[in-house]
Amino acid sequence: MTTLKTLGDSGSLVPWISRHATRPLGLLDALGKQARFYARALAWTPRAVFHYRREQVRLIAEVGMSNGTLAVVGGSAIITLFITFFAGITGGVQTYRALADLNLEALGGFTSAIINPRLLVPIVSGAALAATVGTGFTAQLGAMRISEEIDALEVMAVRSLPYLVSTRVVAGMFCVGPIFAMSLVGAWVGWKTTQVEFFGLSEGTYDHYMNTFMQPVDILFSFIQAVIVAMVVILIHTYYGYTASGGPAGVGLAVGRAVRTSLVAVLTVQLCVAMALYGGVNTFRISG
Amino acid sequence: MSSIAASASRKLHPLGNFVAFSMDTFTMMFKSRLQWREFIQQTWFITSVSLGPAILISIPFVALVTYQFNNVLAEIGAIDLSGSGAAFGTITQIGPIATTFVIAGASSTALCADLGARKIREELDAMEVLGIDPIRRLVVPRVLATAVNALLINGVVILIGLAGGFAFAVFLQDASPGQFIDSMTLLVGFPDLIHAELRAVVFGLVGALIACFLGMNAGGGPQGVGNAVNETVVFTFMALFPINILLTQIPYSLGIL
Repeated sequence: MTTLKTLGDSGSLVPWISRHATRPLGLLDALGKQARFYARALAWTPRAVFHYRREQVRLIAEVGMSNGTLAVVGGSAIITLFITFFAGITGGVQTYRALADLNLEALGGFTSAIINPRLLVPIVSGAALAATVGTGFTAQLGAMRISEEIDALEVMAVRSLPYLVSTRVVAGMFCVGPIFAMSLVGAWVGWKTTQVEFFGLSEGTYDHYMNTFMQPVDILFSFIQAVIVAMVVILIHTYYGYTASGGPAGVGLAVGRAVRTSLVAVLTVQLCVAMALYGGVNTFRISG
Repeated sequence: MSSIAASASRKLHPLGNFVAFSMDTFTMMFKSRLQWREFIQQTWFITSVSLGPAILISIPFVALVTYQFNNVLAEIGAIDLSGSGAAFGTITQIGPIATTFVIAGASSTALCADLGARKIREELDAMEVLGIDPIRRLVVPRVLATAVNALLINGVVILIGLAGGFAFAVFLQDASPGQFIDSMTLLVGFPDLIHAELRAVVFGLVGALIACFLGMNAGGGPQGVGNAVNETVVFTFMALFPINILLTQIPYSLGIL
């Protein structure tokens, strides 16, 4: 059997051609498999909510608080808050320096009102969600796949897709609200602290420009961005975990691959949603 | 009371181990000869996992920032200044932050998965039995390779950022191309570029140290390596954002920029 195979491989050009010719098709195949997985996971969500209520509640708690070493640091919500807070400080420092070059420091509140909800919070909280919640899911599901727990579920006539994947998607949707709110607050507090406390900008000036240019609808748009991104991130991460292979080392590789894919997806989806939301009605008004 | 102190100190143990590990790596970096072959192989390996994500992350990132910035400029009738915004955003923060994403999401995860796999296959123990120091042989080349890669990736991100910002502003939002190029140097200059590149190198060093440390301490079982990679991403993000602030602020405080 093996000798025959090696002879065939080394002898002719045909295997080489077929190997290279099928690569694009394989890519298409993988894409179709992912799309089918996502469609099924979303279609099963009602079953997840109504049939697996206990598992659902447990997962919501787990997404909010995390488990293992990350729970020691404070869980995904606190980690996201931490990251956006520091991102807010960075933004505050950098914009203040740029504005100071033009003698426009007073507009610090304006930059905070525009940049935080429109750019910083959706991007950074999306990435933080992928890092904390998403990779945790990949590691869990990958480990279940490797230790054949998923197959065991199927043998026990429990549908693994709604039980494992759809419940996680719903849990993510539940938690994205509080996580988004915390990251928005974190970014604003970081920004204002920097400019008002460290650089000595007058607090009244800051608040005035902040309140003038802050559009409440921007926050709504930003939240819609965050929800869509969270869904995409969780679907991608559960897919890579659910289809992990190759023993314990394979789980690590799957996690890495999932993070790479989802970070690209975070920004691409972000751009598409932003153009769709802000392109139609530009909510930004200075003159009338 | 003492049990609280004990549990607190137990939680701080990994941090202390990480500091010791970093010190070991840095002393080894200068004390012993560099493993050139491993260094070059690792540089290529990290490039191969992180160049694609770097390109794919920076295009939408820059487009998003340019788009929002130009919305504001268009409103005040200053769309021709969009070059200054694109250059300022790209060089000072988008470059380093996109590099952070790539380091945390691509390079570190690959490094950690690789070392974690070696750890659970007991290859690292085997190396020590053979009298080969894993830090000298594996960690130092990886850390240096990631630093070199971070420098280059930051350059790639900035280049793509400026080109993408130009295309986006000129072709889609009707900015004038000449004005775009002309206003690029309004807010940033060469020192800012150097500043951004140096930050990227530090990000690369820190990210690689975290990845190697967690990979070499990965737990057993199927979930061990997965958890190690998960922690790598989270801790790299948590470390790099505060470091970014410090490094952003230091040159201003010293009066260099």
